[in-house]
Amino acid sequence: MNSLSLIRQKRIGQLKSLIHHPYFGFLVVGALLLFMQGLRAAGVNISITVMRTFGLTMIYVIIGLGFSILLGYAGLASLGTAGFVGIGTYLVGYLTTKMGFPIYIIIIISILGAILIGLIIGFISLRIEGMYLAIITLGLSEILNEVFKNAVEFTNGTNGLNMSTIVFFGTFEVINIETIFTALVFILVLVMVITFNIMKSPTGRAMLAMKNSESAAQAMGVSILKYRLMAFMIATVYAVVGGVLYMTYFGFSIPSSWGLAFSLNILAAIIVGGSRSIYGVLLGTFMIFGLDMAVFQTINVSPTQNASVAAFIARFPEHTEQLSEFFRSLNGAIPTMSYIFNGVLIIIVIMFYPGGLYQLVITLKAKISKLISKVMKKVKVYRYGEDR
Amino acid sequence: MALLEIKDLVVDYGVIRAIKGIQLEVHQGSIVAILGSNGAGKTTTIRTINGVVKAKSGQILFEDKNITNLDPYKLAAKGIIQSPEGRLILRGLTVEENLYVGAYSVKSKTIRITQADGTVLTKKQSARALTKQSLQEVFELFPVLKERRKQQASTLSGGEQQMLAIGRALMGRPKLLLLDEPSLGLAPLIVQDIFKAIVKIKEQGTTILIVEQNAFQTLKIADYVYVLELGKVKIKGNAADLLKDDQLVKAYLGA
Repeated sequence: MNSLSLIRQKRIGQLKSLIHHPYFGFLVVGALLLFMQGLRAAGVNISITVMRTFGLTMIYVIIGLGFSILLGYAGLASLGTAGFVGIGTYLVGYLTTKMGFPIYIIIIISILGAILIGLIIGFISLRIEGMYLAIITLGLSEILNEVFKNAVEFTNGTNGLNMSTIVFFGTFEVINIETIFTALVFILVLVMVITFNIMKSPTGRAMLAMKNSESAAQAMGVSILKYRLMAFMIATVYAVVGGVLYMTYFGFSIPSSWGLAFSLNILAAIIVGGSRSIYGVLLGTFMIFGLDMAVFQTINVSPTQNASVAAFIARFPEHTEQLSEFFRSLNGAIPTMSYIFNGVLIIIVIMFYPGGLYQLVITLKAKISKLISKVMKKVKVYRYGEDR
Repeated sequence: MALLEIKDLVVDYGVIRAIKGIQLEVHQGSIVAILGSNGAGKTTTIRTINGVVKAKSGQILFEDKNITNLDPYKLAAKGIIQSPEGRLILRGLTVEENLYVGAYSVKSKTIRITQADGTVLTKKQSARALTKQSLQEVFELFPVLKERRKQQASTLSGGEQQMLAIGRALMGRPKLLLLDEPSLGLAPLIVQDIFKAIVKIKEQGTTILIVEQNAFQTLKIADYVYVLELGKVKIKGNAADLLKDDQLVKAYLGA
């Protein structure tokens, strides 16, 4: 073997180890999102709705990752996510518009605040298990929602709070959605790397042990107090930071967004995707939030606005009235169909793939590679004959 | 000097007195067994040592320091690790992950070696290196775990799960290993395997306190035995002596 092919083999080996590095997948996700934005900048027709869908979904993925550590690793159920996201949105809204704080200071303040809130809830949770814990956190979230509605001074009440500028270096700047999208991609990749490290570290394993059996975990030296607090702290920090990003990207926050429905959707996304996998959270969030925003909310079959529907109706001149009435009512129903879709999806996943859709992907992958190796064996036998 | 010493221990479950003042000593490098029938207070004793159950009065000394009623996770850091009754393996994790969880309380440490000429060598061992070393040791002790290390722990057989539970406790590099009924629900042949492994663990220098129902087997491997009845120490003595005393074995141990 000559030296050139040796070098080539070494290169291939290096490439392989690069691809199998756990961060590689996160970078690919980030690169794909940036690529999509690049395509749009280059003039490819991608609607603003689709871009906004991806932007918001990225934020929901960040919130979901925090929740997956809480639920999938520490085994603590919470229905209070929405309240903490709401706190993040109002924190950044108030501190920017009324106080003129720069965004990086606000992020630090929000993280410190979130740690404090997480500690308080963690202490409350110490003696409460399972469903009761979910109800307690739901109650907390509802209290926060009432506060959002009534603390008009800070939140502008039920009218919602607007934020169109942020402060970076002392001056107010108009929010540029494209810049924030790029920043979001980088933050998402960073958060995925951090989450991966938490999950694979002794901390993650200690939480898994605690979820499985508290007495076994204690016997091995795991402090239940410490890890319960830590799990809640991580989940609240992710949620509040998610809220800050949401407000910065979307520019509007209203109390009715931060109700039970949002918390349940985050829970559904984690369960559909797979609560112990980063890609599972990614997949689940895109299924639950992304499809709703990008597909169900954008389909328009109103005969006055959709040309192909109008053409279809025109083919049946004797039934014009009934058909256009039908499509008009259908158009009103489509946005709510995402609830039906999500419900069916959750039932199917829980019945057949309790580990989430990510488990399905892994099963398929194993089946396909088995099939390929089987076929390759057949081909070999066909070409070279039976070995023995 | 005893590694573990229990003085006048009293434990209550509500109004019921489970342990009525027992004395117990575990010497370095030995296997000490606590035997007795159901409800004698065996498991309560081991749980009190491990801090899961709190003592009403009395003292537990470990290396001459008072450890009475400390939280279990603090005891693990001091070197007392329990392999709990009913195994309690972590079902959703693989065998290897289960073992890594066991190494949770291992900290980096420096070893001092005094050489012949009087100079002292200090050697630093990282927690990671120590963990790797104990993983090797556990795989040597239970080769079946090495074969199944990527397998989900819930798919193991009962005997393998017990081996995993003991291996997981050993990953924490205990000075004192507490075994709570390692033969529970296992076939006699597998019980023998487990007991052979326990002897090997002792030979490698770990002190063991074992609670068992299977009196006859335990008497064969133990050095010193305490027989409890209704929360009191009824008989104590060298295992070899007790094994010879047929009447006693029949009366209290039913073997």
